Amino acid sequence: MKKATFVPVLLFAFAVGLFAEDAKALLYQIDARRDVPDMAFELKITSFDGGKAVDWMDLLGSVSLKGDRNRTLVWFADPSSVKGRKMLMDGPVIYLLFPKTRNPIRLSPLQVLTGQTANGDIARSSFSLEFDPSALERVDYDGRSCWLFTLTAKEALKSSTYRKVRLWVDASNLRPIHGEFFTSGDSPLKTIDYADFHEVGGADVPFLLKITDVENPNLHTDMQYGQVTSHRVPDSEFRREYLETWMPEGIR
Amino acid sequence: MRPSRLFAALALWAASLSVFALETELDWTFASTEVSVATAGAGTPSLSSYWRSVEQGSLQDSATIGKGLTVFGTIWASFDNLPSDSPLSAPSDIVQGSSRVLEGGVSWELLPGTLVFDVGKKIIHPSSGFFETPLDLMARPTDPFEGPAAISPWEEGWIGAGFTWLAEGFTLSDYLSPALTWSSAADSVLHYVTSQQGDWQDLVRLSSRIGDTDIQALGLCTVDDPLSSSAAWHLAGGLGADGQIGDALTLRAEAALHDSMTRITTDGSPSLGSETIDWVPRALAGLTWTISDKLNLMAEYGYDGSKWSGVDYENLLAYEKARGSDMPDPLNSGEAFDSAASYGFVRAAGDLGQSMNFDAWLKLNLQDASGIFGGSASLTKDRWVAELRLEQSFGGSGTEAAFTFFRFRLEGEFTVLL
Repeated sequence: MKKATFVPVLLFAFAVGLFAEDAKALLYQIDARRDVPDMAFELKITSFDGGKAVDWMDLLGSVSLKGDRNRTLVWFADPSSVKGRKMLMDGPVIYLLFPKTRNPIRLSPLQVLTGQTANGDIARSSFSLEFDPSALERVDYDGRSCWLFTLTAKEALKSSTYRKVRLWVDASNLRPIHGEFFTSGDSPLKTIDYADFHEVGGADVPFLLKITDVENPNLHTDMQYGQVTSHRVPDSEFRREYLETWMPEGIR
Repeated sequence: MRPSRLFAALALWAASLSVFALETELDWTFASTEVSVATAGAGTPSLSSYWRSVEQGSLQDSATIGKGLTVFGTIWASFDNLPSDSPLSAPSDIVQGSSRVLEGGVSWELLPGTLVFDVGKKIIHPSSGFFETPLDLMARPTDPFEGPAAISPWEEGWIGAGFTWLAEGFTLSDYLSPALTWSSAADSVLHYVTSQQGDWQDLVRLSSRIGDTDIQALGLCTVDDPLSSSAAWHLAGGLGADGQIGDALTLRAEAALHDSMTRITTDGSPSLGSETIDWVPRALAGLTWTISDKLNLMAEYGYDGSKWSGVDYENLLAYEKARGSDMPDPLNSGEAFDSAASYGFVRAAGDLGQSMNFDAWLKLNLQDASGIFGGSASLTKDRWVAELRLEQSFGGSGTEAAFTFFRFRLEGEFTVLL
C-alpha cells in the first residue's frame, strides 16, 4: 500500500522537476534569442493619454550583462527639463545624478521614470535572470500559437520591479509578443506588447515596447528604440563614483 | 530697474549665448513674506510683510577636447532686491547684482574608468541627506529662501585639484582646496567671479559597496596657514551608508564629528557667555518610501550637536524672552529654524498627471514642537517650469517660532530652459 502511494508521488515530483527544467530552458532560449549582452542604444519614451502625446523623453545609454545582473547607464538627452541627468541601474540598485550636482542619489526600482515606464523597464532584458517559470501552457493569442509562461520573481534576487509576469511568446519564432506585469494581488499593473523586431549583433531585438496601464487603458507609453548597436562599456564605468564622469558614446 | 526688465535683460544675454549651444537656465522667483518685526521681550510682536524678487540665470557646458580630457563650467548671475532676505536690513530701492563661476575646470581621465584628475572649481557634495547634510564637510552657507532642501540649486564649488581612483572593490578620492583670500578692494571685483576661501581644506573619501549598500568614510583636514607655526588645524570625519529594502524603500544614515567649536551659552538671564565644545557630532537618518508610481514619502531625522538641547535650549528661549531689544539675538539671525539640536522632516511628493507635480513637507523642532510646513505645485513643460510654493511657521509663544521672525511666505518661480 505504501509502495502504491509512493510511486505516483515520485512520478509527480519527477514530472514537476522535468517541467521546471524544460520551462527554464525554454525561457533561457527566448532570452538568448533577443538579448544583446553589451549594447548601446537610443531610446524615445512617449506617454499618451488617449491618442494625445502628453510627455516624452529621449535617452542614450548602454546595457551590460554581468553575472546575473543587468547594468544600465542612461543619459537624458531631451527635453530641456531633464537634459543632462544621468542614471545608473545595477540590478535593483538605481542612482540618479542631476545636472549641477555631484552626488548621485539612490532611487527605488518602483520610482517612475515617465508615464507608465518604471526605471526597471529600461534595464530589463532577461526574464530568466529575474523570474522562475511556475506554469507553462500552449495557447492561442491573437491568432498565433503561443507559449504562455507564468513567471514568479526569484526569491534570492529580490530585484524585480514586478512580483509576477504572464508572458505570451510566439511558438514559431520565440519572440515575446505580450506580457502582463503584476506588482501584487491578482490584477496586473500594466501590459507590454513587443513589436518592430530587428536583428542586432545576431539577436532578434524588439525595438518597440507598448506599455499600457491596465486600470486606465487610455494611458499608455511607447518605448521606441532608435539606433541599437553591440557595444561594450568597461565594468568600472558601471559605478556610482564614475557616474559624474561617464558620458554616452555619441556625446563624448 | 524693474524685475521684469532685469529678467528680460538676463533672457536676452542668455539667448545670445545659447546660440553657442550652451545649456541655459533662467529663473525668476518672487515672494511675499510676512515677518515678525520685533520678537524681543514681552508683548505681541508687530507683523510686517515684504516682497523679494530674484532673477537668476546660469550657463553650463562641458566638452571633450581630447582623449580623456573634458572641460566643464557653470556660470551664474542674479539680481536680488533683498539679498539679506530680512526686512530689518532691507536696502531701499537697491537691486543687488551678483555673479559667480559655480564650477569650471578640466577633468582628465588618465586611465579610462580607473583614474580621473580634476583641476579647477568643483562642487564637493558627498551627503545623501535632503534637509540636513552632515557629510558635506566642505559646505557653504545656503539661503533659506530656496526652500526646505539643504543644498542650493545654485551651489558654488571650491577651487582646487583632486583625483578619483576607482580600484577593484573600492573608490578613493581626494580634493585639495587652497585658502584664497584678498583685500576688500580686490573683493569688490573678484566676488563677481568667486567667493573667498578662508582655509586650506583637504577632503579624502573612501567608498565601497557591500551587497547593495553603499558605504563611505570621509576625513577633512582644515588649516588657515599650513606654513605658520601658529597654524590652527582642524579635523572632521564622517561615515555614511545608503541602502534599500525591497523595491520601494531606500534608506540613508550619516554621522560626522567636527573638532572644537564655540557656542553661545546662557543661564536664562539676559546675559550671554560662550563655551568651547571639543567634538561636535552631526547625524542624519532618513528613508524614502515609494508608496505608488504616483506618490513617495520621505522622512528624515537630523541631529546637530553644535545647537542647543535640553536645559540649554530652554535657557536660550528664556534669554530671548528676557533680553532687551538692544541685546544680541542668537535665534533671530535667520529664518531657517535651526536652533535646536534635533529636527524631524517629512515630505510627500507626487505626480498629479498632465506634467504637474506637488509636494507637501513639514520641518519639526523636536525640542518644542514648533516648525515650518510648506507645499508646492509645479507644471513642467519642455522648456519651462512654473511653480507655486507656500510656507508657514507654527508654534506657541514659548517656542522657537515665537523668536524667529519668519511667519508666512507665498512664492512663485518661473524657470526657462534654453
